[in-house]
Amino acid sequence: MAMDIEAALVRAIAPSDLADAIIGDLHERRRALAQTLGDAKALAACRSDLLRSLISLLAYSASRTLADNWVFALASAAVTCALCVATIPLWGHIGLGGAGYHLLRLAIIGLVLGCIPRASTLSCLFLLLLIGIADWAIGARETYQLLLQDGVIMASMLIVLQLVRLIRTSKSTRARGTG
Amino acid sequence: MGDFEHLVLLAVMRLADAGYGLAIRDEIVQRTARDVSTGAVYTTLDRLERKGFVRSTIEQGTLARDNRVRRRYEITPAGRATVSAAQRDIRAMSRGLRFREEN
Repeated sequence: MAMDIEAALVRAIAPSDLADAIIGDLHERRRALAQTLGDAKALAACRSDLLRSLISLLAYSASRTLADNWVFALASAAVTCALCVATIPLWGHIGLGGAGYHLLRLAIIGLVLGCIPRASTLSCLFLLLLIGIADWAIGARETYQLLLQDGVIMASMLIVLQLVRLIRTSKSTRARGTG
Repeated sequence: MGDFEHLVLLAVMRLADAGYGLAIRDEIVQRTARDVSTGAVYTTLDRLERKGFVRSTIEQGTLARDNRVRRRYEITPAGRATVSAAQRDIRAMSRGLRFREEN
């Protein structure tokens, strides 16, 4: 029996170069345990192992992403922030300056930054930091509320992208299992 | 080098040519009775590889692994030297101390 959800979870969280080996180990361990404990207990043991693994995998992925990609993420965020600031007068001029359009633009930025492999969250965090500095520098009112609103929009887009990836991975894993 | 990194390096040394992730985990669980997760073993191995203490090779998966690749780890000369130094330090610090044996 395939472990689609478990495999998708590992793929979503673990560093990509380790994910396949970890999923393979879970399968191998489950098969070995099933011979002595039965399939249900073997599956439970592997799920328990996976649950205990998630925290260390999550923390390690985050630290590795930070160590590997912070320069790239900061550069992406800086370019995006510069474009945002430079185009502020333009939006009002062409009638797209309202709050709704602002949220739409941030959602698009979240989606674009979200597509940066393994540095998407970091890029969004850097962008928020830079927007915060820019807001503070120009003396914007309600800086914290604006940042919170921008952060929520971008985080929502990152979560949506992650869910889409999770579903796609799960589908392809299932297709591999049946193919 | 941390306590768990030390254990993982010792397990890799013990397993010699069979230093696969699952075998390393089992070796630590059996010898230390610690509850070790697969994720913790792989993250530690990856950290050790980045430090240059182990190196890994990727091997083709088998049917038992759902055709997933497996990684075989082996210790590098730098890793062996680090373990030796750590063992030497532990021996030096332990000399003259009495421990209760749990058998």
